[in-house]
Amino acid sequence: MFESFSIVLFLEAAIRLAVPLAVVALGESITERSGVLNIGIEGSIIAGALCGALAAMEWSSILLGMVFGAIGGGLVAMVFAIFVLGLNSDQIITGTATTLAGLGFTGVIYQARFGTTGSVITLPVLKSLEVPFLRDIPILGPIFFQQSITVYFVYFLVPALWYFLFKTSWGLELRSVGEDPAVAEEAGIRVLFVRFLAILFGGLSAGLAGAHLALDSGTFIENMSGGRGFIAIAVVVLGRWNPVPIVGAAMFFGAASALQFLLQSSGSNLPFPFFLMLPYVLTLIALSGWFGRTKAPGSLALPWPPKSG
Amino acid sequence: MEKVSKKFGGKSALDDVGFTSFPGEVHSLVGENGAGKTTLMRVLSGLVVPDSANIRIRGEETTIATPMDARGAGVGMVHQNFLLIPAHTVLENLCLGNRFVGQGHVLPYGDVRQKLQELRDKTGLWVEEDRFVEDLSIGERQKVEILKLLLREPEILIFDEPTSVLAPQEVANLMSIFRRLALDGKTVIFITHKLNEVIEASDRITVLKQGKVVCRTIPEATDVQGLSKVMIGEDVGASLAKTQAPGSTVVRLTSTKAIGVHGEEKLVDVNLVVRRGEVVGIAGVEGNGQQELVEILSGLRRPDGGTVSLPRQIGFIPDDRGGKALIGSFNISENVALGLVGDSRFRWGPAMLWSKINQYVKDLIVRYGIRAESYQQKVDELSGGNQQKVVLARELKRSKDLLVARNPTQGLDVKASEFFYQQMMELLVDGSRSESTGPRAGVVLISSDLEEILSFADEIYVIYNGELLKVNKADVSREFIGRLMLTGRRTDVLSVKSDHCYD
Amino acid sequence: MTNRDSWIALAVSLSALLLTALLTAAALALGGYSPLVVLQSLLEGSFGSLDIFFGVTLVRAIPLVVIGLAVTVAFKSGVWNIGAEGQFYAGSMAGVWVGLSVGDYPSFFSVPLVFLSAAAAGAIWALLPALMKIRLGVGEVVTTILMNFVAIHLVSYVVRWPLQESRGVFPNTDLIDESVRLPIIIPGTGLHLGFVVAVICVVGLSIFFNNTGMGFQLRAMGGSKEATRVSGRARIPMLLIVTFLLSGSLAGLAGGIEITGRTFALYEGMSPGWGYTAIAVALLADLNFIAVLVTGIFFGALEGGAGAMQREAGIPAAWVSGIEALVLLSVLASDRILRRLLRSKKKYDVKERELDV
Repeated sequence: MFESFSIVLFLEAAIRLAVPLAVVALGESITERSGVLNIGIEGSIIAGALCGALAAMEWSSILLGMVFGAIGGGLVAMVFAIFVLGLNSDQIITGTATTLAGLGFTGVIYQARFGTTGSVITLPVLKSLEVPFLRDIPILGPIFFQQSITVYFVYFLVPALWYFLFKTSWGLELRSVGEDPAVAEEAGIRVLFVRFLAILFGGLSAGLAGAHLALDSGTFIENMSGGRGFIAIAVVVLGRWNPVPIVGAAMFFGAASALQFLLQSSGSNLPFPFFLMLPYVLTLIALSGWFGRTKAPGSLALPWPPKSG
Repeated sequence: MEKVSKKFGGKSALDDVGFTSFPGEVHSLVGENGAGKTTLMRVLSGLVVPDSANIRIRGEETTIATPMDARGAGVGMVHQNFLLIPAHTVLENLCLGNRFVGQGHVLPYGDVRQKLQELRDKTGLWVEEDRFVEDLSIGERQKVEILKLLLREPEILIFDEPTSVLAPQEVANLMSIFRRLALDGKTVIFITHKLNEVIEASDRITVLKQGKVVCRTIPEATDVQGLSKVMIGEDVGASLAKTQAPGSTVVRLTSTKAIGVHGEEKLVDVNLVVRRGEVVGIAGVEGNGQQELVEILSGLRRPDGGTVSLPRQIGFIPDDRGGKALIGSFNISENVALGLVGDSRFRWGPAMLWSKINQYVKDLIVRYGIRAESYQQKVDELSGGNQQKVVLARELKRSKDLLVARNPTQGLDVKASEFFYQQMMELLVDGSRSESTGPRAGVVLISSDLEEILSFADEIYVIYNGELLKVNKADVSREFIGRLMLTGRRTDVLSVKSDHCYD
Repeated sequence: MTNRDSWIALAVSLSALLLTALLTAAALALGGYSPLVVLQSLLEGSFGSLDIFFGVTLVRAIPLVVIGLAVTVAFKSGVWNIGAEGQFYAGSMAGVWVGLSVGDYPSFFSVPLVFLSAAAAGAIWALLPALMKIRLGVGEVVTTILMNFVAIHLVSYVVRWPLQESRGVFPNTDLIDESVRLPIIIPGTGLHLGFVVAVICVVGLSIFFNNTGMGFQLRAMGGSKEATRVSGRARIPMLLIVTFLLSGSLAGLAGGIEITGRTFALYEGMSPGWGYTAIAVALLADLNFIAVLVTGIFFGALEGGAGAMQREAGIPAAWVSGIEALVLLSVLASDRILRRLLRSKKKYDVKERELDV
């Protein structure tokens, strides 16, 4: 049986694992709200991880690492945007391509810089920022307020995005473009411009999450994004494209991973892969409508302007 | 508006049209499909740029080149297709439609709610603003569209066929809204072709025909019959060309029902019998249930009630040939082959005999005069008329028992139309053509072109609001059918007045 | 397919390759490598000798070709199956399970049994997304991606618990018995019978899609679902099921071939993302089955030559996935641009002709 101490540890680990996922998913949810399904977000994460690692190493600065990580992710998303918006290429295929490109070229740059043997690089490590007073709250304090800066960023991002989406006219315009670009265009909204910004935001967020991965572990490893881009897409679905439930869904995925580590380190023989599988299965069930209506933005993954014939 | 002219590809859509309307009145603009009503109003709302026009609003010379100009001049239009986002609430839709009203970038929910309350007090128009549009009925959605428009505080409101989607009670409701808007000093322009509404609701009436104003009048001076005469033209006694006695029954629909996606009745207890060797013509204004009827007749849709018996080999010419009848990226041969997959002559076990199909298609290309480089040309690259010929070639060939044709000659030139009619008539005859060894077929011709129906149909029905109304032989006249199409009424309840047109 | 279409497709593929080559050369030069040296070592590592060509390039090409066919079947029929990766793993799991438990029977019995079960497992893995699409209208892109992860975690369970190797240390299965392995067709090279199976699939699918009624209906569905329903009088749900099952069973079969032909065991990370690379294989081939064989071998050569490239020219092997991505992006770009150019010209031609008459 776990003691309360290990429950705190478990929840703390769950949040730690959930944070990069939450950042990616929040960014992706904005992209998807504009009607664009960017399955190339994985490429943005890994690019963010590498750029973040390189910048943090160069200037020994966590902050610059984060900034350049976000820029790296944003650049990969720009490539996606040029194809999807500029050439009206298929979103799914383009996303697959940017994922492959991101994983491939980060590997190329890494190996070119640090050799193929993969000499370990060491980075300044993200330290937990403890919030005075709040950290002293029993149980909740260590779980929520002794975390890395990214966690506090998520605390800020969730209400900000919620307000943006549902209380500002920009948010309404974004959602309208995603639901029905024809109606949005009639109302005088520049559909492609809105989508461009939404893709950019998704890329920046993913890049930031990538930088967090590198700085949190203190190193860069090839393919360290570990499919989080795809997982984030599931998180967005499970979170129904809404910031608050998205964070909940990310927590759920994070908890599944935390449970795996806990089980493995405690020598338990419970089959942990099933815990890892559970969030995906639940997402599938959510898509089937078992938890009520799960509705994607009306024009998700459809080209604009529509292709004739 | 004066001297408004607009040509589309050499064809005159509006020819020197003059139109005047005053504040505080409900003005009906009536005419047949393609008479130019909608085009005229699209000019006024900046969606169509006229070739020449002289527009004055409240006495001032105004140039309207874009929808923004129109909005600035106080003109607003409620379109036939609602521009609403179903997944959003009423309030959100209202804000989106008026994105330039709000200040800053915080959604002006409070302001809009307050304005809605004011509008409710003034006009009685009301929809719960926190409901989702997808949960609203069609009538309620239309109210949202009207509210969206009213929030812009326009002086002139144009309604493009607003009643075509509404149930009768909702129509009455809308008419009273019109009245209240007019009392509020607005100009309400109301495009329609349902004449009883015109008589009941409007203050003044303008009739367009073939891009020209043919009549200006007031309801007191005319009636449904008079108006329909002006709209459709002189009553020439049409006769049905009965070629031969019909054979056995191929189609029987009994109390057939169809329900739309919003739960509305699209077809109401339709009864229809088609026999071999006869052409059944179904006239009607578009959007009265034709879509559901043809899908049931061609076996693509199961009815939501009643019984349907259909023959085996049915040819179907749908109206939207680009989307439903042809695959643009496929060549002519492949598009014809869509209809041959189940044909044993072109199959050997599971294999398709392409050389045989190609030979067959080459013959069809010659016979139907399809202008193409070869049978391997993509249909995307053909002109509209030639695309339609590909569809005709395929579907006429599979019409061994029944042909269901919806607006089949749309987009065809006179020669091609003649050819289609000739081919259609041949279907009715027994074994006159070498390869049609089967029994002669029946034809259902569903068309908004009354001329076509009158010339070829042995039996005529009118479809109106999902009901199929049989036209007795004795009653067949352009005028009678026209009135049935427009009003759904067989007889006039109003007494016949001589038609007065002011000018 | 008209001749003109084939020419456009070929032009698109060739110009995409040219674009990729130019971009890669530029990137290499920028990184301080000589593109020619790199090309030379890449070619030597993939086509350098018959041994290398058969033993490295073709062996690597087999799963790419077969999964590429799975993707082609789906995309050609208008189904966005991104789940080939998961279907491949489902096939591998079923294949290794049957392979380990089939007992001592002759190869001609046990190997087909493995193939059959692998294909069936892949099909089953595709069935849920198919049903969700048909019954609930849920798009297949997200569901097939989700199924990939379910499969990957299931593999990690299978190799740690029920089918873990007998010593119980490493996360992989035992090797399957000699009698369940595919024979080598060219002695001394490692090229196994799986290549023949892949070629048979290529030919079979090509015939199926081009010459049978159902294949034609599937292609038509890829062109326009509505036209296939209305004018083809086809039952779209049935065609969708066929597409998903066929695509899934091919990806699953690839798993069976890998198990019996190369790895002889199941382990985590058996596929280096073939389900996604196969999308590039299929698109570079313009969804043409015969061409998939060529592009699959091309990608096989890239992956096979990567090792040599690294040894000889000191180029990181990761270049290969970069190049794969460039191929995909170049295909997208040149397809759009070339077709746009050709189409606008075509319209002009038609107008001219109509004026003539």
